[in-house]
Amino acid sequence: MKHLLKASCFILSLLALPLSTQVLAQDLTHPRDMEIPKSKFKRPDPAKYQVSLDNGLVAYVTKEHQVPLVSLSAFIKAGKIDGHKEGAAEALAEAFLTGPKNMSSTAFKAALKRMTAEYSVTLHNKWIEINLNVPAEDLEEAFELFSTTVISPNITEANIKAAAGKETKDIKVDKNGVIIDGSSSVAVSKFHDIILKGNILGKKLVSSDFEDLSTHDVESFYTAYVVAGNMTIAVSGDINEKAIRKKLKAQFSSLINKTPPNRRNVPKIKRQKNKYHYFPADKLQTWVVIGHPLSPVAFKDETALEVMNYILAGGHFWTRMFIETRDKYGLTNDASGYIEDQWDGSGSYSFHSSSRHDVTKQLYDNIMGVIYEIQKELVSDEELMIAHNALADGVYEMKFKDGNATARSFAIEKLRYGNHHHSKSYPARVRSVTKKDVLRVANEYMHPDAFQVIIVGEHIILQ
Amino acid sequence: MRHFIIKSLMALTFVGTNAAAQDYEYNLPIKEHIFENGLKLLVIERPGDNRVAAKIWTDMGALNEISGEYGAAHFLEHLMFKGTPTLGARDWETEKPLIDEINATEKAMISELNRARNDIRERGVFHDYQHEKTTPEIARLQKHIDDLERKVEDLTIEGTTMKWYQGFGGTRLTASTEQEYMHFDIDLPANRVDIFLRIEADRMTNAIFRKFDAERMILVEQRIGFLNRLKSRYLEAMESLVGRTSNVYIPEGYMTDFKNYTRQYERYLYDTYFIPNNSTLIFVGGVTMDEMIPKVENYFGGLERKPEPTRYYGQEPLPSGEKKLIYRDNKLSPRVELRYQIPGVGHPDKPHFDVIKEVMRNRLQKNLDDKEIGGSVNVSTMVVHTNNYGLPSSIHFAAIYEDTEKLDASEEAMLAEIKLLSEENILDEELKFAQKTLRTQWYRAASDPNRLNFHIGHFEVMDSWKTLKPYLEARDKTTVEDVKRLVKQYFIPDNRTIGKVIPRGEGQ
Repeated sequence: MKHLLKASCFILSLLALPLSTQVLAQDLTHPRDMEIPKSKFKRPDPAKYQVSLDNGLVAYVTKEHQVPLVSLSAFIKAGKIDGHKEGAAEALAEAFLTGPKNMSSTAFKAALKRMTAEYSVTLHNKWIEINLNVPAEDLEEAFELFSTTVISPNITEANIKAAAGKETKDIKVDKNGVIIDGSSSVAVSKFHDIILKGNILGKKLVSSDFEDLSTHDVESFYTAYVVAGNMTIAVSGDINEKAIRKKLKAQFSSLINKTPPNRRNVPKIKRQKNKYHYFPADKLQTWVVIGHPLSPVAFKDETALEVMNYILAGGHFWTRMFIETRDKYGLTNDASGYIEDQWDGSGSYSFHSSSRHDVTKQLYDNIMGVIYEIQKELVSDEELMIAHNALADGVYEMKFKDGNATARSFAIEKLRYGNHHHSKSYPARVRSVTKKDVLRVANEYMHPDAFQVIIVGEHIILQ
Repeated sequence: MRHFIIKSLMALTFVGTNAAAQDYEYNLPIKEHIFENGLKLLVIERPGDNRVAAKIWTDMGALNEISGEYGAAHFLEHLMFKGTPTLGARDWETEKPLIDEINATEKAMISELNRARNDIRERGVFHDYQHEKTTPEIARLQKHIDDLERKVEDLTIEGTTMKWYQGFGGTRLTASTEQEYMHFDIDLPANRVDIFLRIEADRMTNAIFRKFDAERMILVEQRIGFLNRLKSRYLEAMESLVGRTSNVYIPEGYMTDFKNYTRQYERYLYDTYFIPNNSTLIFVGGVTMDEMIPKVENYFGGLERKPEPTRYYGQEPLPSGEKKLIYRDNKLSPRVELRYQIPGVGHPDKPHFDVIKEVMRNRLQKNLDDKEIGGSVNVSTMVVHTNNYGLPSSIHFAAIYEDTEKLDASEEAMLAEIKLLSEENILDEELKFAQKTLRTQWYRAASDPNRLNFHIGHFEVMDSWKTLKPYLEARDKTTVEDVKRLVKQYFIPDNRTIGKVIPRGEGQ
């Protein structure tokens, strides 16, 4: 019996040894072979958050209870390209920054400060956004300020002057024309100047534009575009949803609804012949932008272009361009691709990078190498799968990551498309992109023979 | 007896109410679990969140670097993206001997460099060591390494770590190295957290330093990208004047440091600090502690506890004299700046300095405007650091101008305002407003799981995650007397560094 016990213990200990070794061994299953479940994400239902006023104004209200903060945003479908008087949109954006008619801009700023608010107004080419973030304890006052500013902004001569000061700022250069300040955005700005020359999207305002502008012009712009059916609102945070819905109705029902003027006809941005543009800069690095205008992208191609760009240069870190410039050769800290969307019209497609001067030529060659390659051959199954998942489970999900992001995403989508079909169908549209689609859009929307090459820094000789 | 019961009940009620109020203010329901191997797991459960912000923190950073190797910790972070035998290898069996040979060749090269150091040294006025100089043997060994690296290149797949993160819906992929820490980050669908654990456990134990020399150049790119900003050199000059021994005052590597990095030194850092008992996993989002414990056990449980890393840090000496920097630059806007050293996180005075910063931000601009001196006022504190090894943090008061005309008047006015702060009580409303500003800033940070994760981890490596909430609460308890006391104690001439940016004149 004693022997039997001893033997049993021995056998058990032998059994236990491999078992414990197995438990302690590091699990190094290759990610490809791991059983990773599908993401549980489901896009929230916009109807649940939507508030529609009788005058046509649509708002989205979401509760976000993690911290006692509230965000209020307004999105207006009117931008730099709109109106009949140059500078009116810019001056209106300034007016929104200075608050409502019934208080001085000093009092408005003091109120924002007292609330420890974050307040911004951003003017895009085709839309304006106003964002206010405050502690929940200040919601009453903040809502009043926000709504009165949107409904009745304080349009003054001072707004026009302030807009003139901002819009006519130049890049800092020395007496020889050498750029002495700024960042890589200088090269991007030069790129826009070149491809948008003569197009309304690239309009450059000058002092005389603002000299010719009156407060009446700005009022007219406001009255024409800031109407109930031409804007959306997002409210999110530590709120009582019912109370907010009530407030929205009380404050914004007075907004008139009428059809805004037709948007200006934005001519298609013409592609130019491939050209090198050099701007000297007193910097330790050379900034590089390579790109061209982007033709309006057909709805059916939208996700295919995104997938192609993700594989080529858009999916920061793991992209062909990043690997062939940074990972393998240490030529740059970053090389990425940007599809610039212009809401129903031409935009641009460009690649941005920077390098120490002595390797800029090699950087350029490697960027061009991967561009040509993706136009010649099908991407791999694995590349396609990674891009599908990264866009559908990553980028897309983040747009609805919390109540604030959700309200904002829906408000912008509604303003742009008039409905929510776009976001609803997005994951399926991404996943349906095939390797052939990627090859096709790489050739249809990318034209190296039309690339404008912007070099800011030291001159390089290109072939 | 009855009285005692009533008193007890009252006390309990009071504690309960108070705790509830505090939770609303700084809601930090952090759960902690420590595994047998010393690995720490912190979780904030946010039921209903579809995603989770995940980070792994290692208690090491620039504080662990030595002179001549500054930035080595940051470089190690870059190297840790280069894969492992199971991530990024096409054929590990063939690659491994090549990697071994590279390491052996580098060892021989270091020996040769040490032997020939006096022969290849050049002395000059500004550069007394020329790294470009070499010996035929060093050149031969370097060429051999280059040849081997090319062979390795054919056997590796770049970007593998990131690829799988991105392929499973990962966003906000990044890593960061500061004086006290290195962390690797991702934001994932919550039910896919296994991929994070799989990759990070592998990265912690099996990193292969591929493409060493190419990656070295990325640090050069980052450094010159930083120096491209007009104010960078000025800021570095100020930092070097403010403190003395702490690495927080030293940049993330000079050009000569980048050339010094060796695989051998990087491996030493890696082996010493990347151990379970020096690491913390933090998750904020749609996961629970109960589900995370077995998952973490599965991937990290097999890693052995290692000896605690030895840490020799110099104590920052107390400041002992006023210093002044005159920085001449024709491109940078003229400015005047006052800096004072203050204690870092872990010291009881630190939270009060956050309040003082806000009070001064409001006061200075108003004061300069009232005196028609104007300028753009900027009040800040240096990136938050630990107080474990003496001071080191600093508070900065700067005013920026179009020209130099008002610099002297501005300096005088700022000094007068600081003196006033030490003599007179600030108003209660000033104090309350500063505290409200700080609370709002905190809420904005805490509203984002990723930023909340960062703050928890940052406190963990500087002091302890447990002191984050008391730190935030302490700011709300700062009194008028605290402000006066600390201004008197710290804002003294011997603890002051003055910086002035002026244009470079002819012949300077």
